[in-house]
Amino acid sequence: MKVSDLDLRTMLSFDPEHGKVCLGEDRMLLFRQDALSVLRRLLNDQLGERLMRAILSQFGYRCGNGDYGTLSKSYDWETELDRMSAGPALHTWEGIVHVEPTFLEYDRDSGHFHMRGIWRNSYEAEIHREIFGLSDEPVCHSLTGYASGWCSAFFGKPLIAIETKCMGKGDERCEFEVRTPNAWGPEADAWKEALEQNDYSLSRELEAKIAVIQEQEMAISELNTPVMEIWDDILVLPIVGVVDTRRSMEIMNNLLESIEQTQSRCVIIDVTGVEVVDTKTADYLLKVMRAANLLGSRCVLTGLSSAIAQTLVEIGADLSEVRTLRNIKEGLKDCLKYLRLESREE
Amino acid sequence: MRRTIPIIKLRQNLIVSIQIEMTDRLVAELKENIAFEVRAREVSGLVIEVSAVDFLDSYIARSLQQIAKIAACMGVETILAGLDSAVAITLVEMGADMLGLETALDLEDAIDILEERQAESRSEEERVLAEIYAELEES
Repeated sequence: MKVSDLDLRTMLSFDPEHGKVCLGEDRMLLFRQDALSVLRRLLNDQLGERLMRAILSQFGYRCGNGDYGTLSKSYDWETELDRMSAGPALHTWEGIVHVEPTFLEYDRDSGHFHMRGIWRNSYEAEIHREIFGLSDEPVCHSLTGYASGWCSAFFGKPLIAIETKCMGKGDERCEFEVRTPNAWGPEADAWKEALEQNDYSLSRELEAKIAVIQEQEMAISELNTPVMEIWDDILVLPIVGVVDTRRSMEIMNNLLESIEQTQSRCVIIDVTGVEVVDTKTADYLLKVMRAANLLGSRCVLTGLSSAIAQTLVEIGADLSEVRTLRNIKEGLKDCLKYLRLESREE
Repeated sequence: MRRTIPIIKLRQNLIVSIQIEMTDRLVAELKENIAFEVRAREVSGLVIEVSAVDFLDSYIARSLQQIAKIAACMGVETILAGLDSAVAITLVEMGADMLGLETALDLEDAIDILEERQAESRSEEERVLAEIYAELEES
């Protein structure tokens, strides 16, 4: 069979009884172009340009590679050139793009392969321009994937197709070129990477990041609420950074445990290092103090920022049972005074 | 930050003298500014002097109370000084609750009250510290 005899109209078997269209034994599918453009936009928006490119390239690679398998198995080609040229011809018949090979030269013994050609009416450039407008880079990722896949299958060794001109970036037509990976310089790196990208996975990366966050959370929660006994019967709890509901929970547990252990009669909670709290947390801080009071400790709150002071007053927090002082120095003096008075009374 | 009403520091106290008619916007600005100053300066008392004010509605009265509470959060006590008799009557008649806000006859009186308390607390502080130092030396 010659490449000029290739006619997809007769090669395809339509089987509506079973809901199938087949090329040889392989089931083929027909899709709407505008649906593919939605798919492309989703890939780009959800996964980013890099992953979209890898997915489309590898999708195209599989198409080209599989087409070669079917065609070389099902038909007897007169010459090697016919066998090779069937790829561009089928790509054209499939309605993906009009392919016009302009140069082909290969030598199986020395492992040399070089092909150039022109693509017209690339569906991929069309939908890419529709969705994203003009691009800075070539956009026919599944087409170059197809060319790589077909040529690699024909040649029996990995080949890389790149796009040198592309309608997607404003050129009048698309042009492609295929060589062995070694023959390519850095200009083909993006295409190589897109085909090789098997180990990169968004979900794996997310999982790794979540694991890191969990580790850090553990580390932070261990570090962030030290309770120090700075004097007989006086505990200090310095709070630094952002206080959310979860953290204030830990603070409460930590503090109450320490009070139980040390049987301290005074607690200074210093919030100099906290700039803002939300109303829920402010409320929670007051609860911490109330709980400490229940255990029999006298609580002093020091170092309130003006923002927190305003929050507390605006939520109408009942501050009558809480001693609030300017800074930790005043807090310590106050506690010492209190303990003295108590011991004098005894 | 706008500063329509000046906030003056005198020794251990901040003094705010309101000489112009209070509006809602002005009172909100004052609240912000006082909160900021109380935090930034080493003071333990705040006097709000209102002898030149001849009208106080319930919103402004409540805001003054809030200012006192905010200051208290940061360990600063507030005295309202020089309330005009007519204003006082209006407030009582309106039923505006000025509870929780300490008042004094005039600025002088307010400063006296605050400084007396500060001196008291300082001397007690010194006594306690002296005791502690003595104890520490013994041990």
